Amino acid sequence: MRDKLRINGEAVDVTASVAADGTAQVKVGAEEYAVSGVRREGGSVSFSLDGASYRFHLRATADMVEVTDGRGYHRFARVIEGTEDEEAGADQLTSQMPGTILKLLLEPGAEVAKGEPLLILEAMKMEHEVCAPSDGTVSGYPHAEGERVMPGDLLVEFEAAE
Amino acid sequence: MFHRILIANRGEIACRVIRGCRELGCETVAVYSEPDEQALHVRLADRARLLGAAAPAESYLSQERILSVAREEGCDALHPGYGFLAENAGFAEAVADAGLTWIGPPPAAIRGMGLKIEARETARAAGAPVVPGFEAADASDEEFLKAAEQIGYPVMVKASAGGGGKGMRTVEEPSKLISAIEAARRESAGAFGDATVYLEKLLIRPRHIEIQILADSHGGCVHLGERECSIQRRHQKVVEETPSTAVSAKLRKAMGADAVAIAKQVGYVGAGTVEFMLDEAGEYYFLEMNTRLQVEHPVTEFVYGVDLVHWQLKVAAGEKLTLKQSQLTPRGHSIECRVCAEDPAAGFLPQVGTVEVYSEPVGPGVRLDTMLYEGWQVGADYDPLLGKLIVWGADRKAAIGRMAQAISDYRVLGVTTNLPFLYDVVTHKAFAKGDTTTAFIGERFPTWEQPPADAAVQVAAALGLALRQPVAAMAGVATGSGELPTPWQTLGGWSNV
Repeated sequence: MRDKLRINGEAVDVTASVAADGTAQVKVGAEEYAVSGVRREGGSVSFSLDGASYRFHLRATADMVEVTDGRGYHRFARVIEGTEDEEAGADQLTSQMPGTILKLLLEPGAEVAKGEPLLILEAMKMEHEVCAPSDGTVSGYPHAEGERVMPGDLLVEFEAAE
Repeated sequence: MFHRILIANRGEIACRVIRGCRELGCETVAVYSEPDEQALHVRLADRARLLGAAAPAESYLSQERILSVAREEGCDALHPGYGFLAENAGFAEAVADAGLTWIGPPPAAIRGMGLKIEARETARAAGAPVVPGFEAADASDEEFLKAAEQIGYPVMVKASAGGGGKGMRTVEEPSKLISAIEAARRESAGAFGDATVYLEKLLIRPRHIEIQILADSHGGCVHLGERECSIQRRHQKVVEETPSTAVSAKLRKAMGADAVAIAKQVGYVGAGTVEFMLDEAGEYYFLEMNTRLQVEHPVTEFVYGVDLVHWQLKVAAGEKLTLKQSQLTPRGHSIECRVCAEDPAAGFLPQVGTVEVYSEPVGPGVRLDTMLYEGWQVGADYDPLLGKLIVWGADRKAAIGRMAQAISDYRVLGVTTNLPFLYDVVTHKAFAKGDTTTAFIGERFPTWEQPPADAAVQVAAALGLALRQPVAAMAGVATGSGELPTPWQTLGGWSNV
């Protein structure tokens, strides 16, 4: 099967074919991997690659694959054709949960450095700073102070610097 | 001992208390709010009763509703856990008035320690050192500015009724003091219904060291050493351990004696915690007393071999402490990590979601106090703490290695957690050296990013996509025999979620 995932910031073609003996040919972008001992149990997949054994837990949905080995967590968005140029990192500026806009910290047009606080969101009874995902410019705030926001709502209109 | 105990709480602590009660042969009654109908504590208890809607005021803070359930269910005692009503002296009185035993300290002790300004006076009276500060309930802006100048910047603005990092601000310079006081007042009024704030000198790179105490109603009181809780993020504890690398046997004895003196000064009964700050010069100062079971109590249980919930019940039932101070010595080392539904790569924003894939760590010296199970929906109604991973090792190095392994073995998908961040904290060189101050996260992890996905992770993702296809080619691939269909097998194409 063939798919396209955003991995480490780049949209790459991903193919994998698993044979009946548990070996698999995996291609991620230009890299090819010969994998053996593929075994799936519940939410986990185990395999051998270059002599090393791995066991990850993972989950695939309509728009992403998430993979964890406990110490690390990776979420790969599935790239739908035609949307490849969607701003990477923009999802950091959407609300992950229901909350209230407490304070807008900057004026539209403000230039910011990566990590600079842009607004304060109250969620789960705590105040949270939403920060710039990269250097860039705040184009505007879609919600006024005191407004309720839901998961997926855009919190800041943000343009990343070139 | 009690016959039937109502646990007026939710989450991991309700689960932990229910287990402790049942171990002593007591029946348990869980209470829950509407979104918690499927919660683990509801399933663990002998009985469970709905309180009301999600809002705490209609459920976990509804004193009237909780007490009427306790009466209807024939309970003879009530355990408040931590948070919610645990440090509400009025509720403790109402429980006693309803003819039930309150498994917690006397209302007067809760009251005496609840207002931080009063607590500082109590500590002074007990002969313990307190952090230099300024406390005047109705001080004007000018008076605050003048006092801050005298104390010397940076200063902390703190809520007198506060706790858990709420209503707390650090101020570096005079121009920011008044806005910080306003913000702290706003947060404190909202969270505690009391806008009183006070100033404390901000100690530079201090350690947060707290002493666990246990007191009975016959005048007996012992301490169970320290917990170091210096690894904090925005005044919320993240990693706790005992013993502290900064506490010698001599210092433990001195701090323990002060903690016991403070407990006696307020007529304390039950399990309690006296918090101190320890500065770089080795001087310590009283911070506050928490009149309840602490989130991080398990590390003490590991190294002292005691069950604090058992002792809470026994002491509340009028039993005498049989623990002797001279016999209480820590054995080995214990570390706790707080597992939260928050995304460390996105400023630790709280996360919601359904736990879709779940696998718990096991092995010697590993303890997991959690409310999680596969299928549990993490919502936005309550705080993001999902549970605590606690390990014990023969020494600190062994405990760190065990924690790193336990985190690697803890697999949660469907809701984003801080587990990868916790791994990076406990495996950091500075943590290994014991260089753990309250500045640790700010200095070592000003931001946090997931490292790039390596080849193995990329291969796993590709295999994940391939294996979710229910195609004939998959039929021969080794799978656990007799297993139920996984989401990958039952899901069809991408159009299904």
